[in-house]
Amino acid sequence: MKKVIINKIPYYLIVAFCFIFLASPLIVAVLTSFSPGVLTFPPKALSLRWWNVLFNRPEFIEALRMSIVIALYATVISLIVGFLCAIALVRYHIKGKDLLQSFLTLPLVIPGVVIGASLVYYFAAIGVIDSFPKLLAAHVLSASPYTLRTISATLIGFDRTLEEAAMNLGADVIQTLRKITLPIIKPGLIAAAIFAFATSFNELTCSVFLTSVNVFTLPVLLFSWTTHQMDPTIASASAFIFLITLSLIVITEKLLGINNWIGRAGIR
Amino acid sequence: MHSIIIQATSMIRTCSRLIAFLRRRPKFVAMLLLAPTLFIFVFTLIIPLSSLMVISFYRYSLLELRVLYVQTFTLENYIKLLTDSLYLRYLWDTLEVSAIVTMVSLVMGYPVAYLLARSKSARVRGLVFTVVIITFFTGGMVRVYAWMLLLQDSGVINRTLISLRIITEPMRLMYNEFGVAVALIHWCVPLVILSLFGSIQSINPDLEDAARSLGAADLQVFLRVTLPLSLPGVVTAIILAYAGSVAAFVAPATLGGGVVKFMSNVVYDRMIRTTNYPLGSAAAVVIFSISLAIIYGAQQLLMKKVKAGVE
Repeated sequence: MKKVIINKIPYYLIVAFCFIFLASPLIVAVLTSFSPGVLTFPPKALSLRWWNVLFNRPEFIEALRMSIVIALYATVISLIVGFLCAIALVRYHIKGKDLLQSFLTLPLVIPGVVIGASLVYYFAAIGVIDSFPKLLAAHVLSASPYTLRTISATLIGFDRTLEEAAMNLGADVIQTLRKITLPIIKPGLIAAAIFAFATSFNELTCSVFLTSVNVFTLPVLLFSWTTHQMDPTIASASAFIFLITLSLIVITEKLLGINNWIGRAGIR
Repeated sequence: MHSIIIQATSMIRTCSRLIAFLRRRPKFVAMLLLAPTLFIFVFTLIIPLSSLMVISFYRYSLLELRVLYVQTFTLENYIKLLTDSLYLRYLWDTLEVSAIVTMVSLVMGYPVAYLLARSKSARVRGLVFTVVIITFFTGGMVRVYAWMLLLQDSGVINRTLISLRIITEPMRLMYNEFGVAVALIHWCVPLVILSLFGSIQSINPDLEDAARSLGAADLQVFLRVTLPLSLPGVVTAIILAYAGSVAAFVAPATLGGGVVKFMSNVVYDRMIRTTNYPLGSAAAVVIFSISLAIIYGAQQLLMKKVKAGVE
């Protein structure tokens, strides 16, 4: 028995190392953001000083507002569009369905830089100057494969006799959708929405090409801060984004159970 | 009042006719449902990508004040990217660092994926899964900054080592290949774990037990049974990790500190800093081709071998 344990020591060492490796940077960033003076880890005392400075920086508030607005728009649009597309893919006979499906996952496969670079030139050529529609288009594009796959996965397991029963009992298409279809696929829709929101809220590679002096998102602001100066407020801003992402995960876990959610999201 | 009722009934009649009409034409309805998605994909992906490819063959010219390029057909952008020693170095850095990152992520991720698939304790599985998922979903920017806090000259690692008197001078841990690689490994490991997890879980544990009861040591069981059977997952993990790191932008842009650059950073510099659209587009097309080659080419090649090996 003892020999077995000795044999397994390298295995547990790698596991422990990997675990620390994954978790430590984020823990350090969050704790550092609460340090009172210069950034130190572990902080000697906890203070909200840098958080206070952060929330008094107008560009941070502006970036936060823009990130939330774009993420909300992108979530709603990609959810509706993804829902319609998922219905077509799951319930109708379409020629070349497999090809179409792999075509629709392209935004996951194509590097963000390539999409960003192509959109810069394209929007300049068709005369879109305002950054907001550019960013929105890019975010909808990158969120839509997630919503599509999540909702499709939910619809595949859907028992259609329930809808037929409603129709037989005299409900029309809209009533059936509202009373039967939507309530049943609601978990899938919630997962898709959170997925889309988190994708958009964290999107950087594509956005960095499309922002302007006045219109920028939070990750883009952080990016320009880190490449130009090392400022203590960046720690608070990172911790802030991290805590938002974390709370999205916790909400999903509470609503759906995370195993279920990952299955739906169809992570390869 | 009367006219409103007439209008309403005629509207309802039109609606029900419309529904009946649509019922009889499922193909038309399917097209209608697909239309918004296809619209988005055509106008924000296909047309922009095609024009990117076209413009990569144009010639950069400062004389064209408005657009800064001449519409011709030239290969000079590609020739420059593939012969200029600086660009070649960036391309080599991209491919080399990504290869190291992929290997290290695989070695680090496999045991964790194994634990996740096979641990009997639900608590352990839950804990590991939570950490993996949280890292997976946290944005690249946040993670890169967190690494900067650790790796800086005055960062956590250097200060700890100095206070333990292991080193006297701070080590250079970022603004070089090491820093970029570390951040990329942090990005790849969750991906590797999630893609290995499924294929390890689907291996029948009885096979491992059988090998063990026939006297195989743990390492032998792993090399002879578990690893070969999980190869499809390993291939997926390699493809995802390698394609992901080759296309990485944030980590080299920040932790590379202008010294280490990936092709993505070349695209950004040329497109945004110098508005040399033709050269930037060509660099983007190079990255695009590499990732397509990895994802589709490698998948075909490796999967065939793996399948042949398993059979």
